[in-house]
This record gives sequence, structure tokens and C-alpha cells, in this order.
Amino acid sequence: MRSIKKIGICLLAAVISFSSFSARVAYASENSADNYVTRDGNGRQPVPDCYVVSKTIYNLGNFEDPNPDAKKKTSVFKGPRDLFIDDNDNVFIADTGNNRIVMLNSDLETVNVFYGPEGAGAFKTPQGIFVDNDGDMYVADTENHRIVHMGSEGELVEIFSNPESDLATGEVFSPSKLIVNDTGYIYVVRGENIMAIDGNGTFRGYYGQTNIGFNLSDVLIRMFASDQQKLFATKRLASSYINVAYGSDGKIYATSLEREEGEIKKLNSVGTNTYRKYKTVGNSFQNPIKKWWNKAMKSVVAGQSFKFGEYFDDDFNYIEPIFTDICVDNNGIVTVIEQLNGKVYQYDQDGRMLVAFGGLGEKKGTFSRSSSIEVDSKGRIYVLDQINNNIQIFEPTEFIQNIHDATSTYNNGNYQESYELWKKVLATDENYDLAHIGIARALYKQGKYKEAMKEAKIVGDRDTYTMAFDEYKYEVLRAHFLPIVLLALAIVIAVIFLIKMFAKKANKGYWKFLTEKNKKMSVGSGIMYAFNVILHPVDAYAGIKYNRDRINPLVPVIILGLAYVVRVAYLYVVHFPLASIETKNINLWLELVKLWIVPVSWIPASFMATSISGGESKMKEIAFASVSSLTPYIVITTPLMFLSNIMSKSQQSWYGVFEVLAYVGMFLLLFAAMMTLNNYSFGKTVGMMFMSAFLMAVMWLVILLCYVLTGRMIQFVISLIEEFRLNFL
Amino acid sequence: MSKRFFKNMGESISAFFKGLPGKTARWWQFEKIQLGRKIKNFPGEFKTWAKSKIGTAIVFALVIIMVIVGSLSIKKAKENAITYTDDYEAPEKTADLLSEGEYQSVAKNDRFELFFCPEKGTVSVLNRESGKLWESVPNKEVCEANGMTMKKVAEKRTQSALVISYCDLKKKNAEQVTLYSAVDCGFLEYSPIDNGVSVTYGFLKPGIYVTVEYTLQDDGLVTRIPWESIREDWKYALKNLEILPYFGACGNTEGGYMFYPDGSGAVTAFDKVGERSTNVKAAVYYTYTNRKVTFENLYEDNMMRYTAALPVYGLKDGNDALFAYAIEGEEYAGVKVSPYGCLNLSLNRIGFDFAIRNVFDASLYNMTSGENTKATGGSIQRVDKEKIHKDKVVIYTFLSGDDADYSGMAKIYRSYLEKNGLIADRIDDDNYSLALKMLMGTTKSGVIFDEYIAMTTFGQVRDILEELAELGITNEKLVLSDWVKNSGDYNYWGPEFRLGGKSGLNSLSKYAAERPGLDVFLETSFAQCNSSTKGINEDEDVVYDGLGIEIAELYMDGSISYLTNPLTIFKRNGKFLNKLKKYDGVGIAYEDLGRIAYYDYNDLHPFTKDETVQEFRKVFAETEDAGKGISVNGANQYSYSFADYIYNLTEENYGLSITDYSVPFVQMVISGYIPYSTSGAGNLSYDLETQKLKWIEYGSLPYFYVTYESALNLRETPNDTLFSSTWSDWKPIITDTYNEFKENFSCIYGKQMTEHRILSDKVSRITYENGVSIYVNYDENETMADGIKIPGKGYVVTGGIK
Repeated sequence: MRSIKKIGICLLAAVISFSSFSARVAYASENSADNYVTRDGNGRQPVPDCYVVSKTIYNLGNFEDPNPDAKKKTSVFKGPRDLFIDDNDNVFIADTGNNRIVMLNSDLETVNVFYGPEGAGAFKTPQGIFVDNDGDMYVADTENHRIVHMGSEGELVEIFSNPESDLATGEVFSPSKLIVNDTGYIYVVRGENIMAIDGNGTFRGYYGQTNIGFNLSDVLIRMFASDQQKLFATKRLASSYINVAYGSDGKIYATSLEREEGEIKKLNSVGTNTYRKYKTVGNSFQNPIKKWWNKAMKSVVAGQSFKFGEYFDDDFNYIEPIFTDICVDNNGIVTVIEQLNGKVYQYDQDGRMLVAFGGLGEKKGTFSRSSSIEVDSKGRIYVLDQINNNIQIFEPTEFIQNIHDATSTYNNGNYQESYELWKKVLATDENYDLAHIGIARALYKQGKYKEAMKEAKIVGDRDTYTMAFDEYKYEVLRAHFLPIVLLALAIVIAVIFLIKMFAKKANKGYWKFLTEKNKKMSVGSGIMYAFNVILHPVDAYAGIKYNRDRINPLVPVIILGLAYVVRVAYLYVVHFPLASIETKNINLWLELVKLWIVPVSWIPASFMATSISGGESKMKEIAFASVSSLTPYIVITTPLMFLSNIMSKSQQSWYGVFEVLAYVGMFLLLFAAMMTLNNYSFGKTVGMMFMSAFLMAVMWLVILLCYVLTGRMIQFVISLIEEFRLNFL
Repeated sequence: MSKRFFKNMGESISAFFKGLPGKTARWWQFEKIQLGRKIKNFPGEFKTWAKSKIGTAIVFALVIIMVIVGSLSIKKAKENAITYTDDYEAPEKTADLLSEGEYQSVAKNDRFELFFCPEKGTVSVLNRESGKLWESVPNKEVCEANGMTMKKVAEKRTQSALVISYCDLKKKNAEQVTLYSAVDCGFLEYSPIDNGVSVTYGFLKPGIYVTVEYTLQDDGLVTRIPWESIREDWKYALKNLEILPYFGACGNTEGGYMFYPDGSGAVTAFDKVGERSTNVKAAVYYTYTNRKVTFENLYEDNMMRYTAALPVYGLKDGNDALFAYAIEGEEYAGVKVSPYGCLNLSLNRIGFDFAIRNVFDASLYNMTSGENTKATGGSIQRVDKEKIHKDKVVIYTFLSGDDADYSGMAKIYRSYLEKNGLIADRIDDDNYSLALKMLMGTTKSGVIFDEYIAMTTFGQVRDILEELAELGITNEKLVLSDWVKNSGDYNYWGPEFRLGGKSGLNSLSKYAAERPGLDVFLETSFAQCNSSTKGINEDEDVVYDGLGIEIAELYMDGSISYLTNPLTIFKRNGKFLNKLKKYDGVGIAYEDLGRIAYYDYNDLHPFTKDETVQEFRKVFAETEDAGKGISVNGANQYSYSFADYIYNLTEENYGLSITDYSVPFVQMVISGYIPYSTSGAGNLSYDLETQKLKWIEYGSLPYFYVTYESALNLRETPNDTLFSSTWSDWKPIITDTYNEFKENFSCIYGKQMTEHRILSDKVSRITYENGVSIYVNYDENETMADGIKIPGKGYVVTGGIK
């Protein structure tokens, strides 16, 4: 099952990527930008330099180790794994490979080195360090399986070993990353949990468990497996936490491997994630089909909706980001490092990307493997590299400082001031998305709705656009109430009239086909006939069943084309905040597949299913019937796309009902067709529907397999030829 | 016809293979009779007969073709085959280069004296002015001072005058073996020549002999490696060769540094050793372009990582300095920098690494199966059969006192270029210009059709220039990019009609011709073409690697980019000049010719790297003869004698951790000869004030990259790196900046930058030949330098006549 899913993902990804990356890569490739932001996880937009390396530290400098006991260690760092910066900008480094903790003062001179407190033995690969407000150090002494609490001069205060609890047994206690909150509780990363220990070393429970997610095979195992089998079934574990940081707001910030909505977390006191999640973005109301679809898409191509980090590295290889460490500054701006492409990502208080920089490489400002990140009170970012054995210090430029100020002032409700700051940002970078959003919001607050709409539209900010649009709508309505109402009335009357006429015509087409027994179905009346199925499905299907020889095969083709035209038109005409996809991201082939796949593959599937179980229908009428099930879609979408232009996101639920209606109609028509064409009973029809759906799925699978295998085959032949060419020619 | 045809054919094929030899004779007899009969009633019957035999004929034809192709390829393979016998026996070792020996004087002039040690095969040069002895291998004192006991092999190797790398030609993946003359040489022979000595080093195990001629000339020591003198007795082929890799190698002496041509010039300062990693890696910078030519290596980042614009390096030790520059075979030179601690050796060392043969990476999945070569892996290294037919000549010159720094080195190199006519004439106007680049159009990929976006039309270019003129700015160096139809297709001609077409260009060129201070250049990318470029034949006009595979890059939309054959470039340039005849006021900006040079194994028009350079010089010369202005992107040395303006000159180094500072070496060389602007555009900088200081430090004209339409249109286009460029927004800033610069810096326009000195991490001093000194302070706080107060993020101009 898993491999099938994988193949499916590969194929869809291939289809999608092939057409959506059609943009020519410029000579100086766009990946050459060092600093950039991504829009909801894809498409890099270069921005001016936000951070520049000001200093790199490799060793203890001129520090003479005064401790005679400590074996003379090398001055250089060795595989350091953690950094901590206290309120006075003292820097603490867990120099893991050298089994020591190094303390630098705010001028970055080494002032102390700790090899382990007296009377408690030396550290053994310490991987985590935290310093509280009193200067007391908490060291995760990983291979000694303990947490060492030292005073500010390195004297022993206490040692925490594995706390006793019913919940915490079984595993070896190897603490790596930890924080201590203001109440003196120690929080240690432990698998899928953060473990809390109080000041007495007592276990205080697990906190913020990651979501294990839903898995069909688990459900099946639980349902059908015997107890014995259940024992042997592999237990699926929830995703692990990677790192934690303590915010000045008293919240715990963490990174985890949780793919669904939890890579970067901000945990409140009860362990609930309050940081940006996927579901907080996008639609508040979702119809069930769309939701399913979105979910499928999310697993197929990363990036349609918001994600933290990026899913393609600099060489366009697919990656799933792993955020090794996280830090939070006093304004709540979050910066994380990513392991697989070495980038540093910075997000604002609401989880919107401010900048990405860094990367893997040999250059200054790039990393081999970044292991820890911290930020000091001046906004400088320190990144520790465990292979290069250094700390690089990134100085913020004025540009990013302006951005930080702007988001912070906006978050504090100071809109006018943030407006000025965003203007400043735009003076340096005209294309900075967040600045446009910020300005749009400020304009909205000032009551300049039309300008706000314009700004929001530049960067595709649907929420702000909606807010401004609603206000703007009321404004216009207030100003021209009577003419608008009259116009609306006229349009409604016209539409009703049109529908009536259309229905009449459809009915006429129906009767024409039935009565003119000696003539073939003409295209025009055939299309009208197809539309008639909306109003009289049973009669219409019965009609084609008994006159199947006269069906014009051109009609289904035209209807398919018509539906496609309507779909494409819809994508362009639909009002911007209601569009589920940005115009630039539209992939015509994908839309075609999405629209046609069910009615078209339904034809052979239902033919196969019915012909083996006493069905009476033939291919021709099944084709006509299943394609005509698209007519509700056409009929509903056509007015809807125009109507959507006076609706905004807040009317989405109302709007969504119609979208659902189109799909429900389609399903009902297919059902009616199967029942009528084959003379089935209701129960039998239900069964055959399932049967056909199953066959349809099998068909897709076979096609997928063929595709993948031929691809492999072609690749094999090509490489063979190439090999031949290299060796013999 | 068809059914019978295939039936016949099938039968014939099966008949043919069934019993070929026996049947042939019988068949022939039968056919003769048949033929005789058929000729009698010729037309009808012959036709049917012919039809019935057509299958056989085709089979025969196919077999013949296969045989011919096969024999041809076997012949070709035989020609290319490397033949050698396996019964090579290394001769007896006759010399031990590690033995102690005395240096003998072999040549002497006013400034220097050359010594040679016959036992070790090494040389040393005495700078008679300062008394400093420069030795080609570190002596005992230097070794001892740096804790080397000469017991480890790595330490013994430091006594080498030569380091060679060779490989087995017959092996498909040529593994490289490196030998050091001190340890691995078993043969040494020398003979005196004029002003010096010729030494042959023999590496007996692989059977490779190399001759080096050391001579003393007025400038200093000259080493020449005649390519014909390289002898290979067995199956091993010499790949590259480091000449005097330990010349002047020293510990971390005070104030010393290594200078190398990374970007605009870079310095590894010895006293900063504590701020580096202890296990540093060596860096190599290849002249003009990385040794392996792939599209990836031509991208900006890799380009900067491995490429040097000039074949120079320097080493400062105490009050003395050594400066080396390659004057022949420089296209094949690389500068190898190995700082203190590299390979666990406590010495700073730097030297030239010459390619003796060309090397290419053959990717097995080059282009046919997709762009992702990394994931599929397969890549093998191949080495040419033939040696490069070019002598390798280096001049080592020695400086002392005040001149012993990179400014002094720049002076020497400048005078070398001037003496040999390798650089343009001095600037004789005083048009202190504003450097502008304008993006004219771009393409946004759309759902159904790609959308063309006109960013700056020819008319709008003129509007901008007129607006500037109104404000009193009449001197501009203007480069117009993406002006051609389908600019992504690398066509060389046809102004895009949505930008105003030919009439637009015509009116602009007329306007430009009337304005003496305005130089307009149309940007071209002749070195690149793609599958849709007009008039490009994929056999003849594109660059091939040694395996006969095009150097290419496949894009997602299916188009393929190629490099263009140098001869084709020359032809295209000729055609372009013809088209440009009508347009007086515009010159040509070469986007790529000034920054890349490559090998081409194209069967019809093969080019070696030095021939490519010569061809590019021919291109420039032709343009110059046609009276067109030449502007060059990048600053490879061969373009200096032609360029009227250099743009996009880099103002930093790549940024390896071994590099401590970047210095404006290239700028010092060309200042006073060619006006230039550096790569940092004011509108794309994170901080304009910092960018201005950078321009001042590097002597650049103020440079902006603008569009007439709003930069918002560039979102999601290939040009989205231009995030901020709208003319109306930048106009006031550009005019203010230019006026400020003109007021303060027109005094140094056309003058040589004679000295650049880093006074502290954030403060630099630049001095010009007319005595003007400029202090630049990058720090936010005010500082003092040389008793002068320099404002925070500001500069001070002193001296000279303002």
C-alpha cells in the first residue's frame, strides 16, 4: 500500500512539477540569491541581504585555563552541539567533543571553561546547556545520563537523574536539549514528549505530546487482527521532538518531526501548540470533497498551502525539512535552522517567513552542519556548526531591523507607526510581500479600502483583501443603494427568464430525440438532451437506453470540452479571495485531469462492472450518461463564477454549498444512470456503484504502474545507449 | 503494395539468414536466369522482380552500412587508442634530492642574484636591494622555527621544486597520483643556459621527465617549462604540475600575508591565523574559468569559487614580498593557496599549478536523462591524450620596503600590461559618469501563453536620459539588457517590437550619438545559445567536451542551453556589427566573453583554451575596428586592451574561511585605463550608504540597475532578483548620489589607484597617483585614522588638487 502511495505521489508530482516549473531558469540561476523569502513554501523571491557575518569563532582565543585539574585540552572546539545566550549576552557553548562547557562574555572573549563540577565527575559528551536568570547552569550531561545543575562559578548545586515515575520507565535517560522555566521546572526533550521535572527531581509529567496522526492500516489491524497478531504488529510512534527554546513570553518554543502542523511549535502552559498551523491558513469553511482533495494535494506536492521551511533544496531535490534548533528573540520573532539544506529561516510572531539565508557550502555565512542557533539582545544571530567547529555571528542589517520593528509595532496595535516602517522597508525592497500586507492592513485601518484591496492583491493576501472588500462593498452599496438594488432585481429576473428558457429548450431537445425515430441525434439537440438530465434524469436516461443506436458520439465529447472551458473560465473569473489556487499556479493539464478523471474512467469501469452482473447497458449510452453528469457542474459554475465577484471570503460557506451541490449532482446523476440503464434495484445499484468505483481505482493503478515502468524502461534504454556511445564511439 | 512488401521482406530476411553461404551460389545462378528472362520483357516484369527483391536489397544495404560504420569507428578507436607496453622497467635511481647541498651563483644583475643547488635541484634568489634571500624551498631555520623536524614525509616534501600529478591514460576513471620532486625524483640533470640553468627532473617510477629553465632577467626570476621537453616513457600521462610550490613558504611572520586573485583580489593574513579553523583546506583559482567547463561551473557561485581574472599571486614576508605572474600559458594556470595548517603542515605556501593536459568530467547522464546529474551519480574523469602545446612561463619578481605589498604588485602588473600593449590607453576625458543598467523586457511564464513584460522601452530609456539631462546629468555609461526579441533564446539581433523595435532603437541611437557624454551599450550573450536560437546548428556551432557530448543544460520546459563555439561567436559578432552599422550611437556590451574562456572539442572547429582567448580578442578587435564602443562584463585580463568600459566588476571575494580581506587588486590594475563599475547596484543593496563606501573603496562609478516600469511586474519572472528598480522611486536617490560622487570624486577619475591599505577591520585608505587620499569608514561610529576624523559610515577625501 505504501509503495502504491509512493508511486502515485511520484507520478502526480511529476505531472505537476513538469508543468509548473516551466519557467526558464535564468542564466544566473534564481537559486543564486543568498537571501530570499518564499511564498507559502514555494517560489523564492530574492530580498536584500538581511544578515551579514561579522565574526567567526573557532577557539578559546587567548584564554588560559586556570583549572589545574582539567586536562589540557585543545583550544579549538570539537563537535559542539549547543549554544545558549543569557540576558547579559554571555555565550555558553556545549563543546560536546571536548566534554566541556565554554563561557564567553558579551565581547566574545572566553571567560570560563567548565569540565564538570567538583565532586560530581567530569562531563561526558554534554549536548545541552541552559542558563537561568541567576546565572545557574543546567547541563544535559548526555552520556552520564544526568542533568547537572551548577552555580555561576561552576560549583555543584544538584544532579538530576532519571526521575521515577510509572510513565517514565523503560527508556535510558540521555538528556540532550533542555530548558528551565521561571518556576524552576526543567523541561527535557524526550522522544515524542517534553518531560517536566520539578526542582526536587520529581517527575511532573509529559507535556505537548506530538500528534500521532491517523493511519488506516492501524485501524484495520485493530479491527481485524487477533491479540497475538497485535502484539507483533509494529507500534507506530509519534514524531519526536528535536529541540526546545524558552521565549521571553514564558512560552516554550519547540521543533519536532511532526509533519502535520507541528514542525515549529509554540506551546502554551498546557502544552497546546498556538503557533501558525496549516488549518489557520486558507479556508475556514471547507466542503468535504475539497478538504479531502487538499489533503491529497498536500501529501503530493509540498507547497500549495503553507509549510514551514522548504521542500526543495537548492538543486531542486525533494527534501522534508528537519529543524535542528530554534531561537526566539524578545519580540517573539522565531529563527530556526534546517539540517538538510543548511538554511536559516526566520518567521514573525504569526509564523510568516521574514527571510531565509545561509545554506550548505564553504563560503562564509554557510554551514556544513549547523547544530544550534541563538539570538542575543542586539538581534545578532549565532549559529554553531558541529563539523566546521565554529560559531558564526550574523549581524542584522538595517533592512531586517526595520522589518522586525514593523511586525512588532503592528502586533502591538500601533498601525500608523508600522505603516511608516513598512514604507521604509519598501524603499529598499519594492517586492517585499509582508510590507505590502502590512501596508494593506494599515490602509484598511485608516479606512482606505480601495487602496488596501490593491495592496493586498499584489501579494495575494486574501484575508486582508476580504476585510477591505467587504467594507468597500458596503460603502458602494450605501452610496448607490437604489440603482444597485434595481440592477440586481433586473439581473435576477433576467436569470430566471434565461433558466426557464433553457429548461424549455432542454425539454424540447429531449422530445425531439424521442419522437424523431428515424433521425440520428443532432449535436445541438443532443447537448440540450444532456442538459435535460438535470431536470428529468430517469426519463432522459430511459430515453437514451431505448434509442442507443441514434446517440451522437460527438455530444459527450462536446460536453467534456464545455465543462473544461467552464472550469478554466471559472479559474480566471472567480473572485480573487475565493480562488482556491493562484492564477499563476494554475496547471491546465492538472485541471483537465481533475475534471475528467471521474466521468471518463467511469465509462469503462461501470461497463465492466455491469456487464458481468446482468446489466443491460452498452458502452455508448454509459458514455453519454456519465459525461452528462457533468452538466450540473456547468450549470452551477457558470453563474457562480460571475456572482463570486461580489462575494468575499466571509461568504465562503454560502458559496461552498453551491460547489458541493455540483459534485453531489454529479454523483446522483451517475447513480440514476446506472439504475435506469441497467434496470437495477436500488440496493443492487448501490452495490454496483461500489464495484465500479473499485474497478476505477484498479484501472488508475494499472495505468500508474505502466507509466512508471515504461519510464524506467526508457531511462534504462537511454542510459544503455549513452554507455555504448561513451565506450565505443 | 505494403502487405506484399513486408511479406517479401520478411521472407527475404529469413531466407538470408537461413543458409547464407551454400544458398548464395545457387541463388545467384537462379537469379541470373531470372534476370535474363526479365530483361526480355523489361518494364513490367522488371518492376515486379525488383519489388520482390527489395527486401533483400535493404537487408544488404543495412549490413553494408553497419560494416562501414563499424569499421570506421574501429578505425577511429584505434587511432585514439593508447598503446604502450607493460614491460617498462624503472631505471636505477641516480640522484637523491633530499641530500644536503651548496648553492652556487649562476646569474647576477643589478637587483638580483640567482643561485642553484645542483644536489637538490632547487634555486634561490637574492634581492640585492634589501638583502632578502628568497628560497624555492624552506630552509632549516624556517622549518625549525615552525616546529618541523624533517622526519615526516609531508615535511620532507617541502623540499620540492616541482610537484606533479599524473594518471594512467588507459583507465577510464583516471585516478590521480601526486609526486613530489624532493622525495620521488630519482634523476636530476642540469646544464647552464644564458643567465641561468636548465634542470631536468626525472620521476623514474612513472617514467616522467620535466625540464625547467630558470633564468634571471631584469624583472626577476623567470621559469619556463617548454611543453616539448616533457617526456613520458611509460603509460602514465602528466596531468598537472606545480612549479616552485614552496617558493618563499614561511610561517606566520608578522605582517605577512598571501595575496591571490579570488574575486577582485583576496588576502590571507598570517596574524589572523587564530581566527581560522585549524584544519583549513587549500583553495585553487583557475585563470579565466574553472578547469572543468560545465554549465554549473559557469553559474555565478561556482564561477567565483574557482576563477581568477588575472594569473597572479603574491606573498609578503616581513618587509619583503614576492610577486609572481604567468606570462605564457596563463590560460592553464591555477593559483593554489595552502595556508598554515593545511595538510598538517605549519607553513604558508602559494604557487602556480599548471595544467599540462586538459581534464574533463564526463557525466554519464549528461543531458539525455534529465538535469539531475547529482542524483544519478555517474561521472568519470577523463584526460586528454595530447599535451597542451604551450610553454608555461612565470615571472617571479621581488619587492621590498614600501612597495612590498599588493599595491606594489598591482603597479608591477600594470606596467607589465602596459609594456606589452595588453591594456587600453589611459582615460583622457573627464566625463565622470553615472553607471546605469536597464532591464528592457522579460517573460513571465503563463498558463496558456507566456506573457511578455516590457519593463523599459527604447522610448522610455530616452525619457530617463532626458530627465537626467534636465537635472544636469549628461554623462552616463548605459548598458541595455534583454532588448532583443525572445531574449531567452540568445538571438543576437532584432530589437523587440514591444520595446519600440528598430525605429525605437534608431531614435535612441541618434539621441545617443548627439550626446558626447553618453555611452550606450547593447548587451549580448554570444557565448550562449539554445535549441531555439536562430542560425545555430547543433553540430557545428556548439561546444563539445572531450567525449563528444555537448556542454549543455536542460531546463524544465525542455529547452537546452549550449555554449557557443568561438568561431561561431566571431561570425555572429560580425553579423551583429553589420546590423549595427546603421545605429551610430550604440556600442556592444559583452555579457560573457569577458568572463569565460573554455575548451571546445568540436570536430569541425576545435579550440583550446588559449585559442578561444585569441578568438575572443579577435571579436573585440573587430568590434573596435568597426568603431563601436566595447563594454565587458567581468574582468578577464585579455579584454583589457579593448574594453571602453567594464561593468559588473566584482568587489568582493568568494568568502572562503581562509580569506581574511578582499582587496581591489583588479581595480588597481585597470584604474586610470578603463572606467568601470562594480557588481553592487545601489538599488539592490541592503544599505545604500554601505554600498557607496564600497564603490569609493573600489574606485567604481556609482551604479544602478533600473527599470522604467514598476519592479512589481518582475515578481515570478526570471528577473525577480531585481526586487527594487522602479525609476520613479529611485530617480531622486540616483541624482543625489551621482551629484555627491561627482563633486567628490571627479578628481580621481582617470587616475591610477596607487595604494590601498586596510587600516583596521572597518577603515581603509585609498591613494591615487595625483596624491588624493580617501579614507573610508564602514563602522557606524566615528573613528580616527592618520590623525583624521572619519565620520561613521562615511568618508574623507584629502590631498591633491580638488
